Amino acid sequence: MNIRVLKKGDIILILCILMIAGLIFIMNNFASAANNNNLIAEVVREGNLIKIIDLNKVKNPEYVIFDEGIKQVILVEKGRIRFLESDCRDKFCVKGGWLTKTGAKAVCIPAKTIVTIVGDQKQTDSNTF
Amino acid sequence: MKKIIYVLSILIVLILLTSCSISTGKSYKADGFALGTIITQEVYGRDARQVSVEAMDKLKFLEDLMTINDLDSDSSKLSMNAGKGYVELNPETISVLKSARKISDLSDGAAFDITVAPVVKAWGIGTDNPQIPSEETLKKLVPLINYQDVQIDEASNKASLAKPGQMIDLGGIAKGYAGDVLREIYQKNGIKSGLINLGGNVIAVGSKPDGSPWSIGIQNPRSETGGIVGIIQVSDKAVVTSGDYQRYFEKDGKRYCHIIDPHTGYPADSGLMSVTIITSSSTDADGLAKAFVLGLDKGMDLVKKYNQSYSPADAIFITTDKKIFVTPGLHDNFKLEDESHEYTCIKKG
Amino acid sequence: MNKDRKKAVVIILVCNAILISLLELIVPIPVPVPGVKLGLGNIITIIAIVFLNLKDVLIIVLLRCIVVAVLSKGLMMLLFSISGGILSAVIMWFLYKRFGNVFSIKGISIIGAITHNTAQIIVASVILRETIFFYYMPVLLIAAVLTGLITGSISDLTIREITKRGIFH
Repeated sequence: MNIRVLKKGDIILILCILMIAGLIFIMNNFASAANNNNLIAEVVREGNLIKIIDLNKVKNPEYVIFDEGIKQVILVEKGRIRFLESDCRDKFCVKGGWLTKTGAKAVCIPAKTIVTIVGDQKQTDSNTF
Repeated sequence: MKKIIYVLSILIVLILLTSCSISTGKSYKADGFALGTIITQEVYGRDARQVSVEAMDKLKFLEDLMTINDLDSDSSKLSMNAGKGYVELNPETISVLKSARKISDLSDGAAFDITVAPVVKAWGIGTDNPQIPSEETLKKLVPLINYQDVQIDEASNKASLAKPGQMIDLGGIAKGYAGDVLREIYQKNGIKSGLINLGGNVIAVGSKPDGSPWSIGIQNPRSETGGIVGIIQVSDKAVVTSGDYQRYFEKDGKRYCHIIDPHTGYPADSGLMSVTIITSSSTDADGLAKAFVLGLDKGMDLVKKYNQSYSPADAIFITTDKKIFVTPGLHDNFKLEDESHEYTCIKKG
Repeated sequence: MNKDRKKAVVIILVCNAILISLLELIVPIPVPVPGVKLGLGNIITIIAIVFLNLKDVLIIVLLRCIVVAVLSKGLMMLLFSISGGILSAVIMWFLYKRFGNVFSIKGISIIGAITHNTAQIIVASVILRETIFFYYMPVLLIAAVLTGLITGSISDLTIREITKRGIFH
């Protein structure tokens, strides 16, 4: 027998492995695609987790209102969230506008409020600014 | 044929079992506030949570030493005793002062100088009432700027400011210094993978748990929503940016940014919108990012000089005409990722 | 094969396994994925499986792993390479003895490469309690097919030559 020849079992084996590799590859990508459909926003103030919102399940606009300390209003709509009003000085949080993507983050430093869209599938791990 | 199927099914089960048993491992993410900014930590490894808490405590400790808002802080003590001789300070503060000295020396004080504080105060950028100081005021204050007047007596942990009226502002180096301190805390605790973001200063500890580098976004200086212009991949590096957009005020259509040119006493206006430095030391990266004051050519020279005399450093300069200049070490690394489609990338030799 | 002759064969194979593994460290792999390697040591394991019993095969693998770990990777890596080496040797031995008519040496070598890699990954994730290699799994699998084919072919040729010349008899 020529040594270059593969047995039937070998060929089936190689095909199977390639298929499994392809399957896992698709699964990996599929999993991340599923994550993208899952937009979860977290609102944290002074270290306390105030609210977790599934942005895709929001039907009518909702408001998260902080009356104490630095007054703030956060507006939640389907697929997006933003600081609407804030009593802080620079209003960077309000200027930041809508958050729509996983990993996006709006922060109000004076009020110690953080709004994040959490998830694994991010464009970058962190940003320098 | 039966045998083949039998063996293959075992193999498939084995492979799938492997896939399931591979877990994400222990990781901990934490947001917090210190040094007047937001701190984000992502820690992988055993004791991830304790390490992040230890890091946060350390940051608060450093903040107490370096803040200018508290009269009891080391930084205030030094400023209040300007021209009155040495004051005893925490060894940690002495260490910060030494680092500041080293960075100032690189540019002979042209880019970075902690004694710029009196002028910073006169402008009040970032406070409730920023203003343009009068010529006379600046004429009086600018001569007070001289980093060499910060005298350090390491042996007895003492320091002094030579002339009355001089003040220091460690705001330009505190975050950078803290980054190195935090990395040490991580490493001391055996953390091999972590990502720290100190209000925009990114410190990548090791690489991602899966061995790939961290991808770090470079902010678009004119995006109010925190959009990015590009991405770089780094492991074990600090990535620090200085820009005209971080704190500024506008008057009569002109933008006055918070970074003061130590030579003129005016906010830096050098044709740059931001400078990003990538190097091992976070402190040095923070200091080098002040090359922002110098403009493109002199700034690039400063980075080159650091490269030759200390350790490898790379930089990304973004000019006001929306051109992005990257140093050779980043030619293959920097990826333009610009949603605004306004920027062009120029690879500089 | 008499006893002394067998001992000599084992020693020859151990030496070759060590040399070939060290040689592999010099050859750079142009794939930036942790876990991907040529696995030249596998060649010797397969030759041993064909001519010796399981006990001797395991002795060869064990000695190779220990010596190579001490000389290059450090003791931390010993556990990884032993687990991968032993598991793949046992599985290849089993396949060769029971399903030798189904798979050729190349097929067995491919399976050996896969088990070697995955076993290392499992041990690594258990010990370090971190690491997510799932992402790399497809790359590792395809790499294992290629490296398995290469090492399998080399083993095949060598085994034929050894048999033809009756070197180990």
